[in-house]
Formats: sequence, structure tokens, C-alpha cells
Amino acid sequence: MRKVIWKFKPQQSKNAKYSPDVAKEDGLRYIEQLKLEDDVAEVIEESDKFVIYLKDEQDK
Amino acid sequence: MLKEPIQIGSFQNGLGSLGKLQQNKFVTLDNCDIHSETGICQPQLAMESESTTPNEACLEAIDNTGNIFAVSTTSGKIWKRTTAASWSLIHTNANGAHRGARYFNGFLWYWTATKLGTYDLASTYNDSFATGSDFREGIEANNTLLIANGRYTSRVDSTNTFSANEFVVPAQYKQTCLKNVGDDVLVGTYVSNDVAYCKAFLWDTVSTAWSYEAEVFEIGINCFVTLGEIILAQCGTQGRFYYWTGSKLKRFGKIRGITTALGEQKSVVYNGRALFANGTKIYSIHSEEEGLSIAFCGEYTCTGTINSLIVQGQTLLASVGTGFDKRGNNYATATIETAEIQAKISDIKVRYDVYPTGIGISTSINSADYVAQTETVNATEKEVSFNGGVIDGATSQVKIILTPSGSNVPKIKSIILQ
Repeated sequence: MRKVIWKFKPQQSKNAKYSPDVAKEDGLRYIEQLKLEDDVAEVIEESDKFVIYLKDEQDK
Repeated sequence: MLKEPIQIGSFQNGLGSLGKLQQNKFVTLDNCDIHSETGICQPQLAMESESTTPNEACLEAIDNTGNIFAVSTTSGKIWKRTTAASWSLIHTNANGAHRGARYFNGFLWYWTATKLGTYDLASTYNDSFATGSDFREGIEANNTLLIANGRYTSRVDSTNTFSANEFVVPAQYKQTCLKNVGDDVLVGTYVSNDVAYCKAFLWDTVSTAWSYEAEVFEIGINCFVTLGEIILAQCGTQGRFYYWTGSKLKRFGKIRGITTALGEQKSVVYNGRALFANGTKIYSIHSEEEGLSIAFCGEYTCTGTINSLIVQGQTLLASVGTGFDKRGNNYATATIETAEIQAKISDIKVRYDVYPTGIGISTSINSADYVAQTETVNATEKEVSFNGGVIDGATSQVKIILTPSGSNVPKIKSIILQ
């Protein structure tokens, strides 16, 4: 099983436009892309990130 | 006529930025070694073909035992070069043309624009370990592998967990190249070929935002160059270099007459000298001692257009599309071109240290083609001279060709024009 992380960035004055909401939307798009291209086993939403588990050949 | 002779030496000053204008630098230095003996110019060892097996332009990674893995930038092919210089095709990546490769954490990591793959250095490949959007250069930093990925920096940690968006720059920037600066990482970017500004961001690899951002009015940061403790950013299309002050990019210098573009693996450090590849040439950016100015010098010429450089032990290797070149044991023919003198000259003397036989003098009058002259050797004075009469022109330029013979290489100290 492979583990992939997508972080929600806390709002920073230097990168104010990249808010947690924007980062989460980007993350959801990324997960949709992974579902098309890879074998997504599980997606866990934690307080600051998505944790995505991808199946390897031996997991299938 | 010149009232006083002009003595042009101090070869360690390298290539000039003033074109043909009079200066104590040179218009051309090709295949020259100006640093091994400070003040003397001699031919450098020649690049020669090592193999035609990786017959596609490649980027490379070196593992912890010195094996090199060359990944094609035009197909999915991956070749391995052993330390005995034996090349073989080991794998074809199903995802096609590569954007980079790096050894990290016991694995070879190789990537296309959108797919990161791994090889356990034994038998198992996974071409689609993780997904990105626009992978480019990868470096190792703080026990992680960082890879530029569009506006993001992605990270593979020591447990091989892939994190897609560890560091994010504003949406218009695409990350092109990365460089370790102490514990921090300098992130080079570009916006578009039609946008003549970009930025470098300094990131501590932990925080979610950058420590500094530095704007540079060039079309992209093409690659970083390690010059001792100085980090240079090669930027834009006209061969300009900037140096990182710790918070900004300041103008450093340029190599005249070259065209530059994005290319993350065009620079290596070899035998203590920073090298930068452009076209078929490899330039050094170096000063041999503190206190001497840092000089640009054309040191090597490859057999084809250089896609990337890598060093294995004492061997300099260059991917040239049709194969790999290496630095060989034979010397190259060196060319030195002086600045333009706006006066008639009647005497040209080349003061040499050793081996006068291979020193050839050519002259260009009023910017016409160079004409080879007949030389006279004065072994007592250690001079090779042309004094065949007044060179009658408004402007004069001199070209010196240093031709080696086996291990006999001409070493010259200065050129005197009178």
C-alpha cells in the first residue's frame, strides 16, 4: 500500500490566497484525478490533510 | 601605430563581458585551462565519446556505489552505467519521456511530467508510484526527496510517503529548479516564455510559507550553479547569472553570445570548479584562489549538443543525445581570441612557458576573417612571434591556437601587441 498526503495549508500572510479552503478544493481535485489514474483504497480526512492510500499490485 | 606595446595576459581573468572592447579579458577562450597554473593558459583535456548506447538525450542520477542511471527525456528508456563504464538498457518506463531522476533512500526515483516511479535497484520497478502535475528537478534535502511539481514542491520522506503539496508558491509560478542553501532550499520558478519576470523563493523545508522571495526580471530561472559557498541562478535567454545574497538575487555576470533556456541538469561541480553546459560547450565559473576574480572560461567542447552533465568519481560525463561523452586523456586544441585593438600593429609576440611548436597566430584586420601567419620561435626569449610587416588596418584582432601533440601542450603566459 502506498501513502500519499495532500496538506491543507494554514493561511499565511505571505501566501494569503492559498487558504485552507482553496487547498482543500485542490486536494479534492487531486483525489479525483488519482481515482481515474490509480487504485485508491481509502481517503482519510484529518484536521490538516488528506491521507490517501493507494493499492499496489500485491494488495489487489 | 601603438606608442607602447600592449601586453595581454592574466588569463585567469577569463572571458570578457565587453565584447571586442579593449580589456584585460578575452573574447574567446575555447578548450582552455586557465586555472591549473594561475596566469597561464593551456589546452584542456578533450571530451570524447564514451558510448553510443544511450542514444537519446538523458538526465541522470548516481547511486551510492557510483552506478549512473540515465533516463531518456524523449522516451521511457532507462539505462545503467556501471563504474566500469559498461552501459545497458535496464527498463522502459510505461509513462514515457522523463523529467528527472534521483537516488534517495535506497531507491532510484525517476519521473515523467506527471508520474513518479521507483526502482529498488534489484528487480522491482513501479512506474506509477505517485502522481503530480508538472514534475521537474528533484533534490535531496533534510533526509527527504523534494521534487518541483508545478506550483508545488512535492516530498518523498524517509518512509517513502509521497506528499504532493509540501510547499506552494503563487498560482502563476511554476517551479523549475531547486538548490540546497544550508538547511533551506531555494526554489527557482518561471511564469511563461512570454513573461519577463519570475521569482526565487527561499523555503526552510518545514514552514508552509517562504522566508524570502526575490524577483528577477528574466524569463525564468533555468538552473542553479554551486560556486563554492555562492549559489548562482542562471536566468533568462541571454546567458546571465545572478547570485543569491541570502535574501535577493543580484547581478553576477554573463557569458556573452550564448542562448539559454530551462535545463535543470546543466551544471555540476567538477574538480572544485563549477561547470555550466550550453550548446556543445562546457564553461567553468571559477577562481582558483580567494582574492582572484571569478572567471568564465570555455573549458570543454562535446561531440554534440549537451542535454545534461554528471560526475562519476573523477569522470565528467555529458549526455549529448547520440550518446555519452566523457573527459578523456587526450588534450583538445585551444583557441584564444583577444579584444580588438584600434591601431596598426607590426609585431605580435606570444610569450610561452613550455612547448612553442603548437602555438599558431592568426590575425583579423578590420573584422575580416582570420588569416594564419608564419611564426618565428625565439627559444632563448621563450617567444613565438609574427613580425612579417605592418598589419595595416584600423582595427586588429589576434587569435592564438594552441595545438597539443600527445602529452606536449603549449602553455602561454601573455600576448604582446606592438
